[in-house]
Amino acid sequence: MATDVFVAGIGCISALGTGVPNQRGALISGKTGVVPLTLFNTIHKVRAGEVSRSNEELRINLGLSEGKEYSRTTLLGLVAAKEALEDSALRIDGLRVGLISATSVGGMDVSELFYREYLPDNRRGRLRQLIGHDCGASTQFIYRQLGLNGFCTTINTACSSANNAIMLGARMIKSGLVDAVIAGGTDSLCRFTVNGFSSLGILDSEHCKPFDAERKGLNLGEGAGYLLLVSDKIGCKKRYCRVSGYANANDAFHQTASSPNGEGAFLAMKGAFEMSKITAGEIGYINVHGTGTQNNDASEAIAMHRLFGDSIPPFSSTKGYTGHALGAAGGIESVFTILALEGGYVWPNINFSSKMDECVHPPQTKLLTGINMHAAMTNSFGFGGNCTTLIFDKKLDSV
Amino acid sequence: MKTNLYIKGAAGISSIEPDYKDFIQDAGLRRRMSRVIRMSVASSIMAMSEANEKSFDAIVTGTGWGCLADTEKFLISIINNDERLLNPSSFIQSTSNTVGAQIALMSGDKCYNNTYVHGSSSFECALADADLLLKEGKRVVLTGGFDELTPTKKHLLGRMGMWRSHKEGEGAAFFVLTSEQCDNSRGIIKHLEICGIDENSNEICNKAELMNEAGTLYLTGDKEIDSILQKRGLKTEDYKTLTGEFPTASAQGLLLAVNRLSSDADIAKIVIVSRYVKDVATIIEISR
Repeated sequence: MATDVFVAGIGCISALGTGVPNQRGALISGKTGVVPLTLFNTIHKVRAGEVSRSNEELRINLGLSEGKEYSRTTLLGLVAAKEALEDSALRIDGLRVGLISATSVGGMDVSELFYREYLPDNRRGRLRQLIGHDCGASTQFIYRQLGLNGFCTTINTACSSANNAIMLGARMIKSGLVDAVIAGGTDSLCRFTVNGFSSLGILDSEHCKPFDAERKGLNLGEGAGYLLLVSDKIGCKKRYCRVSGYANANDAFHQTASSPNGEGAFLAMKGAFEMSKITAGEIGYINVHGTGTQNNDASEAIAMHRLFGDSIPPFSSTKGYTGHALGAAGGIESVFTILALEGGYVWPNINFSSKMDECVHPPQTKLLTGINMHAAMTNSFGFGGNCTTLIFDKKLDSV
Repeated sequence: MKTNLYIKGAAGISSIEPDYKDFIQDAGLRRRMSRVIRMSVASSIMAMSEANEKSFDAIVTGTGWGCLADTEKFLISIINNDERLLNPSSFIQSTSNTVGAQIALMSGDKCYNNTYVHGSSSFECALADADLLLKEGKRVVLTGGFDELTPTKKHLLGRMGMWRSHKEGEGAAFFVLTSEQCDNSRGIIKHLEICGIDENSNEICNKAELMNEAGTLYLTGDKEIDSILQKRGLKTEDYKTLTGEFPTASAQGLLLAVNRLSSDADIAKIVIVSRYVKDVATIIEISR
């Protein structure tokens, strides 16, 4: 059984572009990927972190056959999962390589099209548009396309889904059930979520302002982010970092709202922090959940204060760059966190202007480079009080 | 995978629904909950009560279809109201982890909470996670599977030809799992298998047959698998004639198996071999 789990490959597609180098470049430049929504028509005035490629472009680039119905979630997921696998140069032969994928909308973008036909006349609507509806369909497709052979599953805990997928991947490797796992998440923009968050009144029609006193809500985003995790028993081309801490906890406060004392967030961060056996001073960067809603950011700030006191490590939300990619957020932001740790960067919290009362320390607003850090942390919190924290560190020698 | 899951409490709801007032006292909460949430919450309460446990260290659920009624309700309201003045309640409750979240909320439990949404192996993935959690040192894990058949889903599956060869089904079943035997253990899951997508019925049956010993009953959830196992001289019963067909029917199958082990002294072991339509097959081996 493995003692340690390492990240041997990363893959990402988001509003910042396709592939990891484009993510890094855009994060350094400080330019947002959030634009007025163009993917579909909606009455809502919405800005969103769109991936600037049509489904058809994605399909062609992936070399997938024409004439089949692919959900955008599946296409985005395959781009990033494939990149993570190729980046690791791992040879699957003789190994048990699994896929643990997270998604919250699944094939909803295609189901919406079906229902428009079906509702007025229930004999209508092309049934094949429903094949990809269930969350597991995108995972099965990616698994087959990549020729994987180990454990395969799908997780949906709303916005914390991808962090839970990465956590399960690490646990599965440690238990000896698999040798390597591609873990992360994928979600696409769709009317369902645009209308859902709009009905909750938590969409900012302008650029979102995470951790700002004047924040008005979130921008939605889309994309996918995956890590290729390997056991310390497996040789690999490169070790980016070690998965040194993870924890999931429940806020048990409200189906959608976070508790005023940030209990769930506090317990998740505390659990991961204690497991990683590092000191607060060793954490060089925290990629916070920081959606830009009044409730989340206040709750998360209080939770960080409870855990770190007055010495909160440098932190930022990258939601201003990408929007909130829901079930994919933890995958995308884990890639951003690993890029920070690997390259010595602290990503700026863009769109910030005024400090909020709940947060003693403001987020990092200027890009920091050349930072020598030992560990980095990332948070994802979802509906149902689901809170998950991951910590990566640079202890790269296996025991 | 070899597992060590002692079942300390088991309960479920399928065709006959109880009076939910006995389980969910808050009338407002009860009204807001969709049927699948009510079924699941009540099942989890009954399972905990049977196990005589006040609290748990983790909640892990699995669902193939998710919280369908709320998903459909919100989707339809978007279309019918042209995106205007939508009520967020159904959106809020549409995510598949709503059941796990509601159980946590009602019990005030802040522990690990995860939800698997992987077609016909959703419940088995939840069991696999539960086994990992117990091996990692957790004491009590609440695990369940649930799916609801809405009128729309029923109609759509009908159009796909499903009801020509399958019986309609839905339900929730929850289990209180521990890693240690206790006086009131209702059985132990020693083996759990999620087959590969390319494995054919014969290969699946070979795996299942390896578990055969004196007093083994095969509860099957697939007609082809049932007939192959029968031809090999094994004792089988098609549990889906009772539960109907849905992605987490195997959770109902496990509940039937637990009850059968308690009531039928001639059976030493039950092997549940399931498959939902063309999805992966799963095997759960349970003994006394």
